[in-house]
Amino acid sequence: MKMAKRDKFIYIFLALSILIVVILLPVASEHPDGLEKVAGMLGFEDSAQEIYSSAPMPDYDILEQGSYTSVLTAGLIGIAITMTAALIVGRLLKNAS
Amino acid sequence: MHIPDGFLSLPVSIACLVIVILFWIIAFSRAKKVMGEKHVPLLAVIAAAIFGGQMLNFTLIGIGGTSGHLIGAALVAILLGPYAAIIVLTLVLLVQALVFADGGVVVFGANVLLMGVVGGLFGYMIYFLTRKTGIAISSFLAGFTSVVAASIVCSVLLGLSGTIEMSRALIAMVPIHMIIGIGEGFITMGIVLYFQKTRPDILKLKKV
Repeated sequence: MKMAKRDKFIYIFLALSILIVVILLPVASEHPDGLEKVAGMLGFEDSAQEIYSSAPMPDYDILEQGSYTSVLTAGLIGIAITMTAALIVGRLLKNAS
Repeated sequence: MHIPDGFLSLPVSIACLVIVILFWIIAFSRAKKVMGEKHVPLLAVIAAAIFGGQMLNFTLIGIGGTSGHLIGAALVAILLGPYAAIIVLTLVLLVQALVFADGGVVVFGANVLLMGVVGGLFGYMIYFLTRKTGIAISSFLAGFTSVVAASIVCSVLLGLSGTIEMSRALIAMVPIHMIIGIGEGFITMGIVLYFQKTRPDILKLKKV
């Protein structure tokens, strides 16, 4: 089987996704999410434990300064890692045809 | 809804992982059967988009000082199929836990169970059952239901772990996640409509 023809839509969709992150990241909410809020309300947030502490970019913050550039860079790296992982898994799992 | 380590007991965490492993086996064999050359790049960019989307917390209207963010399982389920949703959410959650310390490691199975398995399967089921209402409404309902269903299962797991009484967890979790679910519903609807308008052929690909 010949490789499927490169689909421009894939690149457009990826570019749009990245653009949306670039634009919306500065206005993303800093508030706790639903589960964190509930944990605080019901008083079990202290049950959280740090078992794994080798994450290279905790809190999506590569330079540990919380700035837009720092979080955006971490986010773009995350996007690249996720895409690569999905590409590899997809290639491994797809059928032969 | 990323559960951190410590919120769930070890037996509950292990039970979740066992259930999730069964779903991974089903998902991988389903993918082996139906996933073709066309699915792979879509799977990759959609996974990337879900990772990006999950970073964008939106403030909830009506509840002070709380945010929500996209899960994306219903969206992937509608675009590529429910088992593709399990695969994509597994990868997104794995990267988030290992690289960004977002979501625990011992509770990884539980997070995949909530956001991937429950979110993906419930989202797809609702999309399928309500398809006669039109793609916009059924996508919205799929997104909404996926979040609410995940929040119910999350409350049950917290209860079973003895972290908090199940009833108190449910009463607190479900209403908040109904509001988050409205956001999830609109995002899911918007992206599905975008695909339908620009590339309806992708929606007709064989579902994984």
